[in-house]
Amino acid sequence: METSCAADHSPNDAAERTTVVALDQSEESFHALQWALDTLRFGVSDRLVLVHARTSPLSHATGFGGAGTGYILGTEAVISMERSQEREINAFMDKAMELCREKKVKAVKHVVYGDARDVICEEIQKLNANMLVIGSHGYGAVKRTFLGSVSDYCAHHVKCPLIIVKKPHEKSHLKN
Amino acid sequence: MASEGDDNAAGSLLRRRKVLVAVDEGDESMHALSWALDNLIVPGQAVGAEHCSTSDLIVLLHVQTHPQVIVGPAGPGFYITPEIIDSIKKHQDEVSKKVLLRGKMLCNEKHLETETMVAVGDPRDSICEAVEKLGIDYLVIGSHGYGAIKRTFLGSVSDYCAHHAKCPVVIVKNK
Repeated sequence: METSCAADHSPNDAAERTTVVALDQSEESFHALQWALDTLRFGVSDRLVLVHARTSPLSHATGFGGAGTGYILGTEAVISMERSQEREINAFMDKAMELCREKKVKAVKHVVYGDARDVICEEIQKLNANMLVIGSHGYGAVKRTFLGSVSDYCAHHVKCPLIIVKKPHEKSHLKN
Repeated sequence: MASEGDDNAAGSLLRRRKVLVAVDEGDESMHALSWALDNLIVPGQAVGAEHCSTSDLIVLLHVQTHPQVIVGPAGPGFYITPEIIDSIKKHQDEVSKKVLLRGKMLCNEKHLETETMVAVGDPRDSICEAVEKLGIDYLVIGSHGYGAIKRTFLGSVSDYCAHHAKCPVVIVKNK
């Protein structure tokens, strides 16, 4: 009792609280996750759900050849693209899980096909999440920070509290 | 004396956060404050009469609209007297006092050190400026979003702050 005067943070000891953390490969979303792990206090009854929205490689494939005309990819090509995408996804999602493990925070991965905006909002509903943590890819002219379209969308549409974490600009760093 | 770094499940050094909560007369901002107090903020424990140095510091900010803006531009035949300005300011100061006291009481329940602050101007700019000036770790703001079919949209102040504040922004929607 006397060793620390910050009270143990577990407001609803019985209830499990779910925090959705939206992730992609970007530095910004990892920064958001790390910020949440460092700043927020997660207790034993809390868990993070790391959500990544995955786009089908086909949507990239139809862009080849310009205006998506004329190219028909064989199933083998599609399968190999999906596999390589999966490897990439697993790589960074596992990295994210490791960050959670380091902070002894329970976490699970949810990789879902679809547009990030919809996937995040749907996962929040499905999981009845208590909170969303999301980074922002905002790029602004003249060193102003704006909001990326996914975080902006979520800010408008999710019903639960959300935390938008922007990556601070370096003083001498110019964002292109 | 409490040693920092103890009793944290994560094992990291406990550092107190400076959290800015924008409050106004509306229930939404008090709801946002309550939610943050229950879910995010590291509460303190009454340690004698002193506040715990590792619990978070809450800065409650109330932004008053500039009296000139309330009165509107002076036109022919209408002259804004200093008395009018004064009476508006007086009323606003009472509102600030009431709002900040309400917020402070919520924080006291968690034994948190609280600072109160009043700014005059546009809430959007005032909040973002306060974030920079005070070295705020994160901002908590309610959402006055009004939408058709009672969907939660984003009020203009929370939307602006989400875009422009230089710290993480916690937006708590209406219940």
